[in-house]
Amino acid sequence: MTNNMIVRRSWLVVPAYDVDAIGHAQKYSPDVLVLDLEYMVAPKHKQEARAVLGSAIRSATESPSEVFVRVDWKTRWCDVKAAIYPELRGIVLPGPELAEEIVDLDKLISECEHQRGVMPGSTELALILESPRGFWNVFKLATASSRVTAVGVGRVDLTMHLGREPQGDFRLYLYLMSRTLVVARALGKQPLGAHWRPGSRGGIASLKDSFEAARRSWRMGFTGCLCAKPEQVIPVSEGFTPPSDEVKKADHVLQAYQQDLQTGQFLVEVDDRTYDTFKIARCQNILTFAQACAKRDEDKKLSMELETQQ
Amino acid sequence: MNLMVNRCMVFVPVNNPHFVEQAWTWGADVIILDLEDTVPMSEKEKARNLVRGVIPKVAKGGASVFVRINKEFIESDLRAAVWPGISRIIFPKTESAKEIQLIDTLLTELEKERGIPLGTIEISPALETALGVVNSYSIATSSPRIKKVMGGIGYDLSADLEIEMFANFEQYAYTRAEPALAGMVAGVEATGAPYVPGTGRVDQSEQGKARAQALRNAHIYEAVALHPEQIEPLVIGLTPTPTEVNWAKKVIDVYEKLEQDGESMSQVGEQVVDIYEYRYAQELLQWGDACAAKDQYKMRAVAKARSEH
Repeated sequence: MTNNMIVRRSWLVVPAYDVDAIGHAQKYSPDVLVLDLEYMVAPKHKQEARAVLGSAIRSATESPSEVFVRVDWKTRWCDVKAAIYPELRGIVLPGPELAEEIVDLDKLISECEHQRGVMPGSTELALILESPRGFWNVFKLATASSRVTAVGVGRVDLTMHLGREPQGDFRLYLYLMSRTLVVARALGKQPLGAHWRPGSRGGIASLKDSFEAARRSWRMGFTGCLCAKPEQVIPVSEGFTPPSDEVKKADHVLQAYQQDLQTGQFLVEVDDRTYDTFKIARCQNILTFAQACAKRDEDKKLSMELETQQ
Repeated sequence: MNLMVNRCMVFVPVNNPHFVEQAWTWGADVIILDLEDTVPMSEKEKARNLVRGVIPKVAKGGASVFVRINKEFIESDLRAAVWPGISRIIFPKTESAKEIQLIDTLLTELEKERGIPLGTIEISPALETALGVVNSYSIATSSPRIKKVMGGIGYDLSADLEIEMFANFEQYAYTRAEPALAGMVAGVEATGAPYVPGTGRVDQSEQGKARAQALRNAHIYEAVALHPEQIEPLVIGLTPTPTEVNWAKKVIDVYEKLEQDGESMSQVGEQVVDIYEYRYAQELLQWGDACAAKDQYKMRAVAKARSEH
């Protein structure tokens, strides 16, 4: 199981036309590199960004990161047409609202896959919710296409003008996260999103804030989020990787449990605490995900070393 | 964004002559004539007969006039309440779209009958029961007359949920958020207020300021004053300050130049300027203009009323 578990903690977004930015981003080796055709690309660069996308995707896949393209909802048709290549893992779609949009996009992707010799159905869709209707319809959206592998909470503080509560969170934010998480887990999709707090805005958030947003989010059940700048990759990955002391403890408990299993016990006592099957399952989850993270980090390191040698 | 300026609303029991005579001097944006909780059952009939005559009295200071009716007496209350000068009906403990549709139909009839432009009287449902929260989407979309949804918190809801009214408000996490999201989908604003912890000794004016700040932060621009001393701080606190207006103008300048150059993002000092900031800035200016217009209207009305005394 560990070997197949997909680890996508940091999704680093870079403008698709900017070769230097892509090169710089690769040094941080995010789990996912997202070539952007949307927010980070000013109108005057849009055409160029689409035109160079094929070569950008190919050069991006030379790094150990998986490559996605973020399309602009308003121009999703030509953006998707410009993005489908065998090397592309998937499309990040911000701001979907209706299931029909996903169904239509799925069809278009299928046509493009056929034309470009891409394995049918292999292009994934990561849906990033940014509007009230999107959140309201999250279940319908996530079930509209088998390509959907991730559902996430987007820049809602900005797009939905949320404001903040005296208690310290953006208004509705925890509810929107919770709503998204429940649907993602119910359907086996990756839940994406960071628990941002007022005062730290995406591109200018401090590294400490980025780490804490990711860690709080991991505690809520999320396993990755978008990053607006390369420096965020390390703190965000760390935030979504189970903390080492908890991993050690989980390992310790599981070993004790394995021994006790042979004696036929239901409840296990480790260091004066009782562990029931639920707690054991949680330990197992933490350990499995931590091992998958460690393997992903090791693979990335090896691949980076190989590249430097070449 | 809805540009009706209802920064501060205050309830006035229709059957209380003292409050009715004084209300226009309080400076509220809205006087809500109450037929519901503040009027005892034995006085309901009397209160209904008073509404028509009371409207011009409480509107003298330029306030808009709303009426809160009873859930049990929809038809007789509406007959008593719908007169020229009324701009919104507040419907407490709303639980279904059906109730709103009934009110909508009756309002249309009464508007025709009483020479009020058709479709102009708003309905504001207050979600004060579990069932109302469950049905929030169908309620929010039940009539084009709905611009604001109230509730999602409060004494009635806490009683219905059998929970404490005050426990740091986490108990309302879902009941506030679900109607707010449903409302946003329907293009309706939810005005369920954030919780501002009290300071122990209650200075109503200070509490008003704190509430206004919390409402501003949450981007909610409509509130009920829980005490006359909260009126002024709410009116002032929900109006953009000159500093905010200047910042908004700057953002608009910077962004429009960016757009001309085919760019989309820039930074002014610590602040990002982009499409989102640009939209806020535009909203803020529109809101500021609407507030200024309302304030002027109120000022002129008050001056006129004083000169007639």
